[in-house]
Amino acid sequence: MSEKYKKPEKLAEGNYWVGYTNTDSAFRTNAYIIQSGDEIALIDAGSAWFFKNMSAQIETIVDVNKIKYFIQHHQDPDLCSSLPFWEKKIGPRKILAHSKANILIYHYGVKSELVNVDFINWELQMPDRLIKFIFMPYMHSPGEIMTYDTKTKVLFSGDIFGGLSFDWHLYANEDYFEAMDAFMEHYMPSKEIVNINMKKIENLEISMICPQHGSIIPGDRVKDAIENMKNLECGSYLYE
Amino acid sequence: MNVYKNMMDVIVRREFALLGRYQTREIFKNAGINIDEKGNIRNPDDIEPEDIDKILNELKKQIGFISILVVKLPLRRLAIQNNVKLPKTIL
Repeated sequence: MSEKYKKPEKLAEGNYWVGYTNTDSAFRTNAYIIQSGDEIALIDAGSAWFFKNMSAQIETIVDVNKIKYFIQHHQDPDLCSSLPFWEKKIGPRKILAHSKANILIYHYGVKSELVNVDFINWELQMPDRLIKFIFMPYMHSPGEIMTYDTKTKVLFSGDIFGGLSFDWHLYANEDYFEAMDAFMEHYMPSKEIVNINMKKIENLEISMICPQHGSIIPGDRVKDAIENMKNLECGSYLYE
Repeated sequence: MNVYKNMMDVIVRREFALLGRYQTREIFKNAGINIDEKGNIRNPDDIEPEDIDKILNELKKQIGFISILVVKLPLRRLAIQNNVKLPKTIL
């Protein structure tokens, strides 16, 4: 793995990858920030295990005290367990997630205001851009969401489009769709649900897809990635 | 059609994605199965059920459960579709 990926990487105007590159795991965690004017949204804050390294990385590019929002695509510990540590460092902020996720995120012992994106018209106005949230129920969580930056057209997709690999690259290589299938076929509940949800994004202008695990899918491979998801053989209960 | 050849193709593709091409080829080589850099298996018609178990055991030993997890469902699917026995390592 390149040394440069141990530092934050600018993806688009105001969008940065700030993930932690744990080299001993195929299940890497990505986090991202949206910087807009004087406000910062941290997307999928990350695991408690990686908080120290990840927060130090983020501090190299922005003032973490300007983090105003934690956007959480679902409630799992690999993206939420650092929240109490963040609160200890910078104080309570606003946690944006679906109401079905927030009722569980509460149990991490967080003090931040829990803002349900399904009760704020699925939108967040930041100083220079509008952020939209896209409901992706049951992929894999009932309150799963994606986050779309309308200014840069970057789609932050949470677990969806994530992949498993020890041979990690920030941007998807030629073998990435296999890495994606290997993860998705275990975590996605059914082909029907995947196809219903993919319809919500297949006509969206997307400059890149940024998942919480695996690699970033560049714009010229987005359509193929969506087609790949639509053809995914999933519903592992069929084979257990 | 050699179902076991298809199973081996799945294992190669998935391990390429999980481990990278170099490491995958090394592990296969150690198990006595030669694949080229594109993932083509040398002597594909000679693949037998024992070869599937051999490579899965080698992967399990060297990499651990995750190397089995990434191939488990497509191998099960192929076995069911073709009415053949599942590799022992997957059972």
